[in-house]
Amino acid sequence: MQIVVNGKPTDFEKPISVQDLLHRLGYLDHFVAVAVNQECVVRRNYGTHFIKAQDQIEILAPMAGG
Amino acid sequence: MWNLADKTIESRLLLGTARYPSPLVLQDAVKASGSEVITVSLRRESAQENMSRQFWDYLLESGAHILPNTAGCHSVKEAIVTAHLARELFDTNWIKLEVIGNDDTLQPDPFATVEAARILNNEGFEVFPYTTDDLIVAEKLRDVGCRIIMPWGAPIGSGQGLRNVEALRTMRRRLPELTLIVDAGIGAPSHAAYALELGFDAVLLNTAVALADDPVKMATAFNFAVSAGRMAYEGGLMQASSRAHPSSPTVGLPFWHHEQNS
Repeated sequence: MQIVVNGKPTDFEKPISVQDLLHRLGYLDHFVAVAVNQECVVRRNYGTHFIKAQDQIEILAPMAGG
Repeated sequence: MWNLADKTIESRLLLGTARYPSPLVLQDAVKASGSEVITVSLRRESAQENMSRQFWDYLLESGAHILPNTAGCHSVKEAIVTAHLARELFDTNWIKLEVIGNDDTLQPDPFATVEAARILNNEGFEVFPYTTDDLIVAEKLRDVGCRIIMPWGAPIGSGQGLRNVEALRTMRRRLPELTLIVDAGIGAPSHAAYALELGFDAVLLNTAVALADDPVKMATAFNFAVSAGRMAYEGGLMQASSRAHPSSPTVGLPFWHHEQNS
């Protein structure tokens, strides 16, 4: 299945949890928040929220801002 | 000391963290400014770089209150999602609400800002809305639950200062119960002092410090300016007059003054 992560098309064999997605993409030690299809996924739901084909994922981190 | 959204703090300067020449200069500037509230944003994170961890470590180390923003959002939906992500990431219900209506002027969209503020207030956020100096918009923001309003002095990053002093003065007079913070457009310490003299509770600025030749020195200058402006407001400014009034007593002048006048 294809999903889009931070604007880039990305392929996975089957639906995976947000937790697994972060692990597979190398984000586990990052300080990030995740939105799936413009909805925030809270951290406690990372293991139970599954990514489906065509989902749009945003992985965001703190950045300097005004 | 004063109260900002149920936090007791001393400084009346809120400082942005963007556009500094280096992370070290940012840290030194925040210290020199005396600011206890710093603004941050959220951006896409690359898996290959872990820059955010370093930035987050600094934020924790600073001990400042974190005010995440929704910079770059152009719709109610984008702003709401960004606020949710910020709450998740920073564990705070504070959100600096920015919904931009025009990319050239970075003018806020007042209709979307009010609607997003209504939703976020209902969800328990403490909304710091960035708006213009329009009184009616400020009143609408109050009506949807905002305790804090942040009118611009001038467009973001322009450094033009307080472009419409009368509008700001009117807003202060008509909304005495709200915390009012001039956000954006401050270019010099004198602008910040003026805002405080008008009775604004604080100022929020970024570029004026970050892009100064010496950001740490400029942060110090703003620190003094904000304190001076507030003290002036509390001291009670004299009324301006259209004519001159001698400062020294006119009674008991020496004889040569009488000779000149005769």
